[in-house]
Amino acid sequence: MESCSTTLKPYERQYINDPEMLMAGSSAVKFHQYVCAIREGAVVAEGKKGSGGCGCN
Amino acid sequence: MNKRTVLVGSLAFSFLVAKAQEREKSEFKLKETEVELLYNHYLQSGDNSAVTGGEGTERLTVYGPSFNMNKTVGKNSYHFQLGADIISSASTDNIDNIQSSASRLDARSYSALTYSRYLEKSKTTVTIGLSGSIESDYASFGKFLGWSKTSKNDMRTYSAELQVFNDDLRWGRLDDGFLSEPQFLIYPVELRFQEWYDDYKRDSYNLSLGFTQVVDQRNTIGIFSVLSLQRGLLATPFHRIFFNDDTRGVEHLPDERQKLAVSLRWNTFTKGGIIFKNSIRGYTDDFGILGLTLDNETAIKLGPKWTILPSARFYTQKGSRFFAPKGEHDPGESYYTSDYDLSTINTWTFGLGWKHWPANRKNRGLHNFSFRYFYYSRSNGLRAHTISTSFNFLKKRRVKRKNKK
Repeated sequence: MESCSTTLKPYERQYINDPEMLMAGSSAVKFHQYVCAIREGAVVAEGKKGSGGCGCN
Repeated sequence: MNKRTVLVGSLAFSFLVAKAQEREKSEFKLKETEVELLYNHYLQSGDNSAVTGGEGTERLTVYGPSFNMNKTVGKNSYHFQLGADIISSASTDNIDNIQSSASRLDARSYSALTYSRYLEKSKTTVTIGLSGSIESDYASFGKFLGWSKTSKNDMRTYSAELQVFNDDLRWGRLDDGFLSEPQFLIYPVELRFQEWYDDYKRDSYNLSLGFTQVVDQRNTIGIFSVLSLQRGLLATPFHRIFFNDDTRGVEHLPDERQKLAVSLRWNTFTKGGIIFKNSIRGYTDDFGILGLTLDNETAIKLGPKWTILPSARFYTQKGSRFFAPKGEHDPGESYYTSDYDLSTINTWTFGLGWKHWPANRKNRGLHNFSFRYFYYSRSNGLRAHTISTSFNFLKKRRVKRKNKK
């Protein structure tokens, strides 16, 4: 890997800018993370909790 | 002029105009509307329902349509979400032990609205939002405030978000149509001779921090953390407890809970057109729960129109000190639960899906659609299947800025 201080030109960002490279997950992944957060004791560190809801069933 | 120069020059020009999030500095501004129609279908089975004290069916089906819309006009972005989870739960029917139907139906409606403003000079985005969800035994109202900043060279991003949820656990909101006055906390039918709780509210405060770094052309790393504080009624009032002396009670947990989660993430775009999104997450709270997650999502690009999406996840959890199986709690204990969500467990998830761009990624119409399946297996026997389908519509164009007088 190159140094972290290297700046990428716009034409060098084709891979980084790919939608699949985003840190945020897709809606389907977020729903599954929501299921996991209910069925397990942990919360997701980078997920956004869109709403409340018991999920206790 | 050789071919290489023409190609590099063309790519440079196309990337300057094609990136959806690029901020316009010219007389034109980007206007983009994205609509997502999503449907989630969830099937669950198991035999450790907390409603029946840690033993009993956990059969559950959720039908979950939702609508998401993102609209960007220049530096302003709006996000709107509306959805409903129609829940058919066998365990909920056991709150009163009356078999009213194959299983009881409930519905959770939810909505969220956020607004973001991009501040060009400082490369900062500020976000505010509201959310709400309502079901028969729960209402939640959320507010959030977010901030993110990108470095001058677009190589680093810092983010912070504060979420506040104010919840009400009383029953009755859907009894006489939508938004009826909530009545009371619901306890198991045989335990309604007293009020087990004075409080019916639950408040949650979440502080999320994030940092991402573009390492090189093909690698990005990120570190994220969530610090969470919950106060109020944290137990579920209709979860039964069977004590070791054959007496019964309702679940009782502390009225405060502090949680901390930290996640490290590494996304890499390999030379074979395969993207690996890897993460490792740690979790701890003052209920005594420790959790570790290893997660991989992979995107295999079969060309410009098709992507295959396999995924795998492993989670291991040391359970809460307040947990014990049915019949093992002592009535002299201060706090007790038989909810296996808080027990010592391992879980495995395997997923497979695909995404398709039907129209050569044009700026109007159906942009892409995807299908994903997840199989979830928990070490105490709970099994779940999730099917998610998504249709994304996109309309993108450049409009002339209005001249400021």
